[in-house]
Amino acid sequence: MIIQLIISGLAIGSVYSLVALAHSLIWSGVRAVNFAQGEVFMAAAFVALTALSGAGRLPALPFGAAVLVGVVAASLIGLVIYNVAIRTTSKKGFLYALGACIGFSTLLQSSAILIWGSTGEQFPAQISMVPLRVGSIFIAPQDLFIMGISLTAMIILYFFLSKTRLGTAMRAAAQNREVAGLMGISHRLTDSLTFMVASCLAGLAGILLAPKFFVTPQMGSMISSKGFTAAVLGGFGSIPGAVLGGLLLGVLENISAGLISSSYKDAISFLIMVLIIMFKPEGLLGVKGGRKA
Amino acid sequence: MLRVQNLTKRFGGLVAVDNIDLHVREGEIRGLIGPNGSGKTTFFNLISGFDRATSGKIEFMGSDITAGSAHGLARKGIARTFQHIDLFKGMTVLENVTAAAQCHARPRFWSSLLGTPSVRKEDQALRNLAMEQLEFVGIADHADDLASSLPYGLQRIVEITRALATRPALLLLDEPAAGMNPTEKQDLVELVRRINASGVTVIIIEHDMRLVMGLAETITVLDSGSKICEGLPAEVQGNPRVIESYLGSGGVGKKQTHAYAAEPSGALDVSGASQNPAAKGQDSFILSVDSLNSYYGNVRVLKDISFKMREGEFTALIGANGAGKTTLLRTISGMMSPRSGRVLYKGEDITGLSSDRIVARNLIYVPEGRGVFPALSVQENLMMGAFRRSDKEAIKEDLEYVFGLFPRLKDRRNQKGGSLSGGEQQMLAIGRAVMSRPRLLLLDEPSMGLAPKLVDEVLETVMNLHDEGLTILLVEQNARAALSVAERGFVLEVGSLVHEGPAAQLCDDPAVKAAYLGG
Amino acid sequence: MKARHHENFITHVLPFILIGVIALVPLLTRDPYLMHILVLGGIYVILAIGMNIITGYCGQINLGMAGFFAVGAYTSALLTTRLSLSFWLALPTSALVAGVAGVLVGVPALKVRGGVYLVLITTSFAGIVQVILNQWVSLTKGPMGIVGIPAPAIGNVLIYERIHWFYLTYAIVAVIVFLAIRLVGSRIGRSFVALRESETSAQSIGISPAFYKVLAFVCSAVLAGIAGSIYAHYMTTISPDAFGFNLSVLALIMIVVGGIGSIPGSIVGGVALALFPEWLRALGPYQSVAYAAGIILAVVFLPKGLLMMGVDAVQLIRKWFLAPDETSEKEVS
Repeated sequence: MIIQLIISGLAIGSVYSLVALAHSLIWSGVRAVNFAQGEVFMAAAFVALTALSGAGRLPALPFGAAVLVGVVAASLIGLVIYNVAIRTTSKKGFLYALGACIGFSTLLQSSAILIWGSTGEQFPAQISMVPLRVGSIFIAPQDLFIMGISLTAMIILYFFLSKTRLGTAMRAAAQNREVAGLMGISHRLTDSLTFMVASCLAGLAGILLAPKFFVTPQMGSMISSKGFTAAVLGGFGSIPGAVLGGLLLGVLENISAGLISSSYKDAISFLIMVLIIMFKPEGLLGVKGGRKA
Repeated sequence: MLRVQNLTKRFGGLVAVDNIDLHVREGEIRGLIGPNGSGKTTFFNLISGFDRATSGKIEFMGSDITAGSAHGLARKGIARTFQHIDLFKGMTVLENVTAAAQCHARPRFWSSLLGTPSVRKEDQALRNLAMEQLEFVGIADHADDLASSLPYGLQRIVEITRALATRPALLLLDEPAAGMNPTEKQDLVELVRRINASGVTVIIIEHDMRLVMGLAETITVLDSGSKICEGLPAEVQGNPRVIESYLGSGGVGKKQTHAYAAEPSGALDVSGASQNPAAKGQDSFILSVDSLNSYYGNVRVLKDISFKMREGEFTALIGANGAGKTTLLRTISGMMSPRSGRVLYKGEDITGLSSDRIVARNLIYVPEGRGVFPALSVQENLMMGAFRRSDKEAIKEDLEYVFGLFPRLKDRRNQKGGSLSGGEQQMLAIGRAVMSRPRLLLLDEPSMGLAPKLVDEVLETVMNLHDEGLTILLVEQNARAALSVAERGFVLEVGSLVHEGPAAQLCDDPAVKAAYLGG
Repeated sequence: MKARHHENFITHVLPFILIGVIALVPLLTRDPYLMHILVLGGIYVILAIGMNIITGYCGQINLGMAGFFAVGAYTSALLTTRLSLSFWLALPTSALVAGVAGVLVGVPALKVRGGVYLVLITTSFAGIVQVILNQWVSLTKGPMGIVGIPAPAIGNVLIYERIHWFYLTYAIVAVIVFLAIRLVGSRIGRSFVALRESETSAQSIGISPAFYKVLAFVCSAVLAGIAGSIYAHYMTTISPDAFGFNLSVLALIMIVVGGIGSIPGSIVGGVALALFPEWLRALGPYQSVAYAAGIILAVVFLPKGLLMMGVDAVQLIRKWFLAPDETSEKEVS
């Protein structure tokens, strides 16, 4: 029972990790927060769904291609959010960046309602729904699929950040923006890139989670806050922290829902957030005394 | 009235304040001086409750205040100003001072909400008190001006007035004269004397030596967190340890073998007027700075700086803390824009270009504090220096070249930049700059925080780079070390170039000592 | 001195002129729908003033206003439906309960430095309230909500007509505006602004950050609680989905659009955000898209808020037309 809960918790947790990674990448790299991350997540799911089922004259695409379309759409939305909401307000203060991001999240939600309607759609399952039986526990193949794809995405991200010139430049800018400028690294380039990569991750998370739930214009708000909790839990701005925080949150949520009551499941995340911020604000893997969020 | 015993403050491994004892008598004006990073401001933060001491004891008017909170100590009678002006910008001058005048008043929530006559009377009394303070200081005319709209010197005065309005027994002034012009400084001295005469004990941190030596009866000198000397101004000025802490010591042993021609280059142009441009075409200068003025907010940090450098030259720019050395390099390298003036690089106007564009022209700046990327490996750090280059083969060669210059970096190539020692980080920063294939290298305080032996090692490498034909502009507070390696030197004093000459001559020039220590 | 008079006019006179203008609307039209929008606008104004005290004056970002609003609304609804308390007792009680919630959020918020964590901790509070409203069915009836919340009575007259609600709401708004102006002009308000401008400097002159931040949280929570209580009795039915994250966001947008750190700005922002979606109604399905786009534009391009834009415009016009005539200047101030 517990093992089963842990495994399905890890599956949803790996999706939280992707969203938390998006938050942490943006915070460490740009010192900004995209409060419209949840809507990037939602938009990617809708775009991928549309690509998968075809629309008008556009042919229906295979799943892999649909994922690609959704992720690219997400990264473009991220690029627009950075250039319209973040860059223009960077000198005015956090309150304005927050307001502009929230404007964007409303804009994306209402556009989605306009395009896809407010009721939502079913995302066709890509993987057999029949659970696998290992000993006495049942595992949903879909959970394995989600974990596999998330893990692959994280590995790709790791290689991008550590092995490529652009990725290293992004890390350099995250550590010291001014000096990165002295290396000839343009801030606009790394900032835009950071937002695009982060939005790719959030978008991928949306597409992965879509078959598990209904795709609705409102699906983003809860996941964005889960992503925040996961990021804060691991240490806001820390990349490994985001992965750990996401997995931990997924498992904790699932166990408490399974053993105590599912009705207060969403409160767990909020409670963790408040407790961490109060008692261990640097998170599990963050640096103590680092820059304050 | 203030007794500090064995006060120590550690930040991680760094000891910012090291076992300091200090006694200040009631009614005294005490000067607190010391080179950059000597722990003066941390010391103020400890006394005023903004930082918590690691160990030691602070006694104020007979009671132990070591664990006091900042706002609590303000109410107990310790007021302070800040190194960087920190006014309530959106408020008027009067509101700023009134906010402080209400220090000893209770909040009186319900009465304020209802506007009872008693609270109105009290509010009026607070405003009157604030007005009195403004009149005492002599800025009552500005009562209704927005604090942020005032000129810099006046903002400093408002900050002092605000501190006074809490009716303190002890006033801590952190570099009150920074950014003031000579008249303003004169007024400030006058004001501090009057404040003192009204019964307030004053401790003042100040870099303007003439000012602080004239004002304080006793001077305490800090260096790397320790008290190294205390006494009358004249005693302090003559103390060899003090001179060493300011001007640095030693220098590279090779100095004698470096037989630099002591001919005046004529490239320095202190007056600001161009000097016979016809004779030497402008093209022969790799860098020419033309009446540059830079500001931080309202503070004019660079005042009409003009100088020129030829290709292949090695120039040192020296000056005390706060002279504007770093600001000059930041302005040249595009990290900040000048208010007026021009920077020409190889004849091209690069004023106001962003730093990444200037780097593309092979003008490379190694910033103060090294700016190593702490979580990148040594090799990644070096490769970031070559970010704009795409010639893979040459990059590889340069990497080997840098490893040749600094074999220690080669051993640690996979270690994180942040795990290196200070000296190694400095080598890494220079190596990273070399990876950018500089034509002109700007070095900012490479000796800062390094042991004398390491300073020699770093400067020797810089000298080697110069020998290979690199043009170098070195900025140093450690004047002796810098002048021992450079060919030519400029002396910067509070934003102006005041001396220039062959390095060997400047080294023994009493005027240089005066620029640091006053007198 | 002129600047001071001008300032005085904006902070002390303009708010009541604005309320007066709104109060005159029924002379032109008593269209029930417009009255409904304006009642909502009045409730928003109270919310916006609360938001402005904590965020605009004290500089602490608070995205948990929906939580305080919900606490006020549910307290009032439960007291009147379960215990048959009168509205006039329920209103102050819900303000009190919301104020206690303000302490509960304000104290942990003290530990937090910087905007992002404040946003997260305040949204988490509102999120927890939301979960409780949905799940504690025995108390709150869960997603079904509470119905049949009684109308308040003045003497023997029940207030249920729109126009009555309109006058009642704006009477309360006027009282709150009056008190809020007193508060922000007092030494407490000065301490709030000092904390916003520089916490370090504020400490250096004896202002306790802990005390004043919690006080600001309590003030804003009390106002949100009052707004919630009025909302519950006006709507007669409440359910959790009315108190979601969007409402907290709305409070933020109201002060950004109206003017941060300004009481008259809160009035403009509150009423504008009630009216704005209605103006866009003509756009049909595009209404909410245009609404969101409008918000982005307002945030990016109106740094001082609508009110000060208006004031600046009036000044410009006066300069053009009345520049030589100094007397007109005096009349207004």
